Amino acid sequence: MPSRRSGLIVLGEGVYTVAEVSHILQPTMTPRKVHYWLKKGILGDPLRPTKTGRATLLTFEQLLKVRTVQHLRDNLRFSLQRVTLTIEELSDWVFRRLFTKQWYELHFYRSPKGAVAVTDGQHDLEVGTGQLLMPDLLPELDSFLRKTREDWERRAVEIEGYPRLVSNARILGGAPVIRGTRVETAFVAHLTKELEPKEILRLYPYVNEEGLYQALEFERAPLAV
Amino acid sequence: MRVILDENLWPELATALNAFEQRHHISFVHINAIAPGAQDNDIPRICREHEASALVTANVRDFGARRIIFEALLDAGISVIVLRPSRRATLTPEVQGAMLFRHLRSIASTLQDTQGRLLLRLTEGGIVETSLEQLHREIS
Repeated sequence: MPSRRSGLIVLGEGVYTVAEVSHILQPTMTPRKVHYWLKKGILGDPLRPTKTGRATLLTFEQLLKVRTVQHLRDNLRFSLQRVTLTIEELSDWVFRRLFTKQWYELHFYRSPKGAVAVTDGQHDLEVGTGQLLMPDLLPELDSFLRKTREDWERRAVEIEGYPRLVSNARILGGAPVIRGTRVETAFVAHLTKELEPKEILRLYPYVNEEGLYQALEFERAPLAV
Repeated sequence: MRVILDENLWPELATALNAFEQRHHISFVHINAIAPGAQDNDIPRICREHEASALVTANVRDFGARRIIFEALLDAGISVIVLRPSRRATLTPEVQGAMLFRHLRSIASTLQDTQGRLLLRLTEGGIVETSLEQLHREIS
């Protein structure tokens, strides 16, 4: 159980800078996009707001919100005129059901008018997309939201393209680590300034080879701006 | 007094530092030997079970954001000793050892003397001490 709170977070909660969120959600996420959704109020108030000389800090839930907003936006292909308003309305509706104690099974479907709608079994929200959508998209969105709910419950997200890495809010506050360890990707990348990967594997026997090479590749990957 | 070494520190470091246990009245245990891959919120319990009062870790990136985690550890009753690299020195096992050996006496006496919990930042230049109250002020 988390300890009492007197600081900014309790142990086991994650804390992320905007740059970290973008790095974890690479390759498509950028700090600029995160700041945009923050400014629009879609992500809620940051853990620590932007201030000169200090990084904006976000929670694990906000990291998932960023990922969800981007996924819905990219896949539902809203008309340009309405994209912000629609995504605000849809995100708000979805987040109030995704990040609560109660489990809501959310399901996307085509409404009789041909619009896209989402339901929690009791309430429905209809959103206009103005674009043709692939038929297999709606079940994919259902499973994406289910996965997001599971990630929220276990407080961890996979890093796309790097199966041996994870960002777990309960380990080093969510810094990307080699799965099953408390060894940060940034730390092993730092070590390679002086040590060969083989030497790191010999010195740190609990670091596996695949995890190490994925960590190095992840840290070398160019960040989108 | 006992101190736990985090998983980013060289696992053999505990054995090396323990050669001086009698001299400085401080012993070390590596977290991988007792709780591999432990979660942050388990660390206070692990420390209690092993009668440890502090965690030694290393941080090579944005210290500002990581301080929030250290603040939460201090809040849970655990002192934190964090190794920071310099521009010249990478935190290789040798450098980790050199920094800890050089300041072993000081770390032991500071942890013994302190009433509350502290964040001790170790660099090649020396040790900087921060109390929980100072940390609260700096972060909020």
